[in-house]
Amino acid sequence: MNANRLRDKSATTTPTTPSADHNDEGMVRGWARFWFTPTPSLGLHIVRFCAGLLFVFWLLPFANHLDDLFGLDGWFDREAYAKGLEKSTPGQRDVGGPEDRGMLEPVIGWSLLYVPRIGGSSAGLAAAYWCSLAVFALFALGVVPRVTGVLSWLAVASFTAGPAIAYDGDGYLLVLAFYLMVGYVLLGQRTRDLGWTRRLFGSWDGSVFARWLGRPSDEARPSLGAALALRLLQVHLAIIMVISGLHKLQFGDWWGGYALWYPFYPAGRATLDQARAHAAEARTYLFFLSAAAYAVLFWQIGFPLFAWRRRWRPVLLVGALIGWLADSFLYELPLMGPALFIGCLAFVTAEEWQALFGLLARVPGLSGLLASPAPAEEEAVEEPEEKAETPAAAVAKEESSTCITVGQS
Amino acid sequence: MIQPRLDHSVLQLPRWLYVLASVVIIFHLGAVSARVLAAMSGPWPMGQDGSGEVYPPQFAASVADGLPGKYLKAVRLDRDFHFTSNRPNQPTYRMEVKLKDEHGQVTQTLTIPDPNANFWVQHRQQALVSYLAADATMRTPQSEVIPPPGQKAPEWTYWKPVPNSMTKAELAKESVNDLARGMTVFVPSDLEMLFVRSYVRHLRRTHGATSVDVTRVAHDPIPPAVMFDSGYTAAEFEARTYSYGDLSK
Repeated sequence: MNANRLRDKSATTTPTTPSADHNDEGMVRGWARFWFTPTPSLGLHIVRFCAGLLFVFWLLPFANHLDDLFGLDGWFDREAYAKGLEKSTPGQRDVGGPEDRGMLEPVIGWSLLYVPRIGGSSAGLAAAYWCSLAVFALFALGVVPRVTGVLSWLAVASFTAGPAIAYDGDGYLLVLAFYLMVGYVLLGQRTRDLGWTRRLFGSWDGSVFARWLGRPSDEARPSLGAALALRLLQVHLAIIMVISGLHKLQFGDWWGGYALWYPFYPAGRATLDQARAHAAEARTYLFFLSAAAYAVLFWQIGFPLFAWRRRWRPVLLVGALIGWLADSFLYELPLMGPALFIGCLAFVTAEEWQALFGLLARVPGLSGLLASPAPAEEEAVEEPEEKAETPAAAVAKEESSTCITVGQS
Repeated sequence: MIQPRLDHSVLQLPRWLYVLASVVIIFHLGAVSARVLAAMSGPWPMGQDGSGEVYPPQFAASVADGLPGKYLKAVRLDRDFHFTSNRPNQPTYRMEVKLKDEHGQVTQTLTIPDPNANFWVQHRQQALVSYLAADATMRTPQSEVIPPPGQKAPEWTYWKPVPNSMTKAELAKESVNDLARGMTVFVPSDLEMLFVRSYVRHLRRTHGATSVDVTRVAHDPIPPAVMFDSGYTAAEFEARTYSYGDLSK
C-alpha cells in the first residue's frame, strides 16, 4: 500500500456511512471506532519530537545542581525518606493523612535514582543525568524509538520522583512520556514479516533522519498503536483539564473573577502603590480580568466539548498557546504551558498537519526541508489488504482527516 | 477468528483482542478518573465551624486505594491534578538560613530561592520552600490536663508570637497547661519539619556548618479590594517571619 494511493483513495472515497447514521451508531460501534480506527503515525511523531525537546529543556538547566536536587544526600536525604515512610504509631500526630501509613507514602514513588550506586554517588548521578539527556534527544529525533521511548519514560519517572522538588507540571511530563512509550512500543508491531531488530528497537521510518537516510516514510501509514496512544493522551488530557477547571471553582477568587489579579501583583514583590495604579479605572480593569478568568474556566471545563471538533481547533490551540504564555510570563511556571500545548497537538489530525506543512512549504527555504521522503510501501500491511481504504474513510468521517503524505500537496 | 464487522472503518481484530484492549482501556482510564476524584476538596463553608476541607467520595477513595491506585503508582500516573496554581490567593515564602561555625559566629547567610540560581532551579527551590507553609492548627484543651502519676503534662511545639510584634513568631515548646485554654495555635507539621530538617542536614554536609538557623519569611498577597478601599496600609502586607531557631540539634 502506498501513501499516495492512500491519499488518492481517501480523496475519492465517499464515506459509506452518512453523518446521520454516524450519530445513530451504537455505543459499541462508537467505542470501537473511537479507539480502534488506525490513524497515520504523523501526529504521534510530531508529539514525540516536541515532547522529546521538552524533556531535554526540562532537565538541562539542572546540570549544576544534580546532587542537591536528585541525590540521596541532597535536599531530601536518606534519613528523610526513611522517616517519611515510617508508619505512624497510635497517638502520634500525623498530618500526612488519617490512615496508619507513612506521611509521605502516598507521595513517594519509585525511582532509579534511589539505587545507591546512582543516587548516592555524584558520578553515578551525573552518568544517569547525561545518559537521560542523550536518550531524550535520541527519542526526539526518532532514533530506535521503541527503546528510547521506554528509557525516556524511565528517566522522566526517575527524575520527577523527589518529593522536595515535586511540582505540578511534572505530571504533564509523566503523561506525555507514558503514552508516547505505549505508542512506540505498539507502533508497527502488526506489520507482517517484521524483522526482530525492528520489532525490538523500532523503525527509523518515523525519525527526522528518514529523508536523509533515504528511508521510506511511515507518516501516512495507518497505525493502531499510534491511534491508541494519541486517543489515550487526548482523553487523559481532557480529564486533567476538566478536573483542574472544577478544582478552580473551589475558590471564591475564581467565582469572583479576581483570580488573575494575583499573578499580576505577586505577593512580596508588588507594592501597594502598584496595586492601586489602576484604581481610577478599577471597574474596567476588573471587567477584563474577570472576563479573562471566566474564559479560562470555560476553556478548561468545556475542553471535552470542543477538543475533538475540527472547527474548534483554533480555540483549542490558541487557548493552549495563551495558556503557555500566561503560565510562563504571568505565573512564572515552567513546563506546564509547553506540556499542555504539546498535549493539545495530539488532537491535530494528519490532514491538518498536512495543510500546515503545505502552507509552510510555500515559504522560501522551507520547501526543501518539508519535502517528504518516500512512503513506506513495503510495510503498509498492518491491516488486511481488502480494508486498505477503510481507515482513511473512517478518519475522514470522524475528524475530516485522511491518510496523507506530508509536504507533497 | 475474525471479528464480525463492527464498523466498516475499524481495524479488523479478533474479538478477544477487542475485548481485552477495551478492558485495559477502561481499567486504565477508570483508575485515572478515580484518582483525580480521590482528592481532598475545599475549603468549603462549614456552618459554625468556619471552613474546612472535605474527604473525597468513598467510591473514588476505595478505588484509588485498591489495585487501580497501585497500578497508577507503578506507572507513575498517580496525580490528582489539583494544581497548586489553581489557588490564587496564596502567600509566597522564602527561607533565610544562617550558617554558623563552632563558635556560634555566622559564616554565611543564604536565601532560598537563591536569586543567583537560574530560573528553573529557583522554581524548584520555591517548591521546597512551599513545604514550609504546611503549618497545622491545634486547639488547646478546655481544661487542665492531668498527667498520669510520675509523668509531666504533654508539651507542644507551636508558633509563639514575639512580644510587641505583629509580624514575628518563633518556635516555642511549652507545657500544654501553660497555654491559654480553648485557643487555636499554629504548629509546624511533621511534614514541614521533615523537609526543613533534611535541608538543614544537607546544608551542614555541603557547607561544613556547625549549626544552622532557619527563618521562614511569608508575604501575603495584596487583594484587589485595595483599589476600592483606601483603608489598607502597606504595614498590613509586611513580611511575616517565623524563626525555627537552631535546627542542628
